[in-house]
Amino acid sequence: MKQKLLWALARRHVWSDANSTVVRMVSALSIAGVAIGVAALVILQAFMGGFTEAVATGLTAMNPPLHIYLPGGGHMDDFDLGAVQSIASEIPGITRVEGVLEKPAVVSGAPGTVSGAMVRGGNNAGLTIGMDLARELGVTAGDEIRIASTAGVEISGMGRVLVDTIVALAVDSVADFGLEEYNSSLVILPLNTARDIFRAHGELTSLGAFVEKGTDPVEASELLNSALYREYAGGGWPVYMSCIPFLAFHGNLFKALGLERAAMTIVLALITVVALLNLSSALTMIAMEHRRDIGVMRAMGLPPSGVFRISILRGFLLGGSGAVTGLAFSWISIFTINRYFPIKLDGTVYWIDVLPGVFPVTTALVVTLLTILVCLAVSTFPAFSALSRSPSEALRYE
Amino acid sequence: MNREIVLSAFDIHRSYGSADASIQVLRGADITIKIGEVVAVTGPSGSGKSTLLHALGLLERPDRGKVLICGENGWALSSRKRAELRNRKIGFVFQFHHLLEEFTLKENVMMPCLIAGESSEEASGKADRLLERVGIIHRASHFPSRVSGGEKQRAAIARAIIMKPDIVLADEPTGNLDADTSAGVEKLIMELAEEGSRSFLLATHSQDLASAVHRRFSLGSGVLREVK
Ligand SMILES: Nc1ncnc2c1ncn2[C@@H]1O[C@H](COP(=O)(O)OP(=O)(O)OP(=O)(O)O)[C@@H](O)[C@H]1O
Ligand SMILES: [Mg+2]
Repeated sequence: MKQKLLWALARRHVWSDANSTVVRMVSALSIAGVAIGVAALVILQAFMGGFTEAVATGLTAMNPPLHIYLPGGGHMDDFDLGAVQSIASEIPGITRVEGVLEKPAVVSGAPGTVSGAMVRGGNNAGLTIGMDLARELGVTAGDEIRIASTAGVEISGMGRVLVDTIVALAVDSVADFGLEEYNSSLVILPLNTARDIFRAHGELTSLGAFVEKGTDPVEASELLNSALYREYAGGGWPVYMSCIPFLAFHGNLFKALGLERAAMTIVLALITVVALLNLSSALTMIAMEHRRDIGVMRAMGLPPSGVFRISILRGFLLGGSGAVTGLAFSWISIFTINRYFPIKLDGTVYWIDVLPGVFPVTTALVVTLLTILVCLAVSTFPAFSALSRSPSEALRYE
Repeated sequence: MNREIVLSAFDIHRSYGSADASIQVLRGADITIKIGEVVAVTGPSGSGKSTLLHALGLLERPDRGKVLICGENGWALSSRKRAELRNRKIGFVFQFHHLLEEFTLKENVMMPCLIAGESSEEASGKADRLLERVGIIHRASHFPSRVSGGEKQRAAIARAIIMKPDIVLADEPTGNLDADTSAGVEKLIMELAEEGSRSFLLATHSQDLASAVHRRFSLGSGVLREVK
């Protein structure tokens, strides 16, 4: 007996012009149900995953993957930088460590404009500002902006006093930093310029370390952190520098996103479960409609294994068509939405202004595989019930 | 073992229902059929003709008794072996044609060959010849729902003999047809038996068919008696 014959039987049982309208409708509905369930899951994952990924990409593009800081917000200095550089040089995968001085300031551009900004002094050649900030200040490359800070401290005869500094600088370039957050507030300039503005010579607010391509930042960060711990805690320092992967800084955000995603996945998985229940009743009905046919096939010599396999194949066909339809539908939806109907977000709230859909390959594979597995499992019930009867029963009456 | 004998059954018992409300349908039926013999079983409705044929055709296990198909003890085999035996040695014709609705007449006729693992070309050739022989080649690609009762029964007969079985069990093959159509189908059965020197066991109410056969049995009170 050939597999081809069993396929032909199963296929015509679930879908054939000679079938009753009821059977065809039941088949179509159960396929549609599974397709909707699968598509809903895949589309959800595409956009929630797309959001998480876009935010993570935006964050990692603008920040070194490893963040070294002094707990409590204490300042570091060039000496600390040198120390960390020498410790990090022992750790495989870390390429370099840089110092950053980042502080809030007030900036103004065209007459009458003023905005709060984050001034980041680091390894930057000129002065770059975020595009949204540039628009707000009415400046483009070549124009001048003024940066005012109140962070300077001077010791005079009257004790410690805060001193304002106002520095006028030319904008070298305007950039799209990826995230709304950065575009609307970030000013990047050389470290020494920042130190002048804030009158903070030798000072650093944090250090950033870079890793080689292929090195896991989480692992590298754990290594560096324990090296720092050995060095300083071992040396009896009460407060010492720590290292975390930069994304862990936003751990709460990613945790919340993950939680939301999990909750919605459960809800949509329930839809799929309901679709599968519907499919199992469709299979039962198809099995009932074809009891006599199976009896005839057995009279003609179809062995029990053949009866069983026809049943399983029906489930595979219905579930498989549903899953594949769902996948195709979700892929087309994601593509169309990205291309023609991008989902706009309020960047000031969501950091990004277009929600990208990224087809979740792993999720799609897992969902498809699980759906088909469940269909196979479900189709064993009609299979066993068909085998529990003698072929005679189905053949006696019309 | 007698090589002439294609089917023999001894002491077939079968009852239905629960212990307190059971009906004894067969109470020790015996029968022996030789090569090329056409045998009829008659009996009133409910006398157990279908039950007997299903037991002999290895479709429903009797409570007691033995069925030998070409010397093989059918009910002692594994269900897989038994299916194989049905495929190769037994052909069935039912009162209701029982064709597969989703397959054309030709595909229906090919089915036993495909189950046996033959290639579709091989099966197709055989089916064409048989459809020609039973006179419905012009209906080969039609679905059962689109052809007449007589044509369906002819297709069912072609399907029953395509594997050249040693015995064909036919349960009221003309029971659902009008008189003229019945006569045609009955004639076909007798011819086919003659041509292939194939054995037939027919359960029938038809006097014409019963009088045309080689031997006749009547089923009553659960046993078979030969009618001389
Ligand atoms: N599955 C079953 N459960 C209970 N009783 C049954 C079952 N199958 C058959 N019977 C009974 O067994 C008896 C014999 O039935 P069977 O169908 O063999 O008779 P028959 O001679 O073929 O009748 P007909 O000429 O009407 O086809 C009947 O009384 C029938 O009601
Ligand atoms: Mg009957």
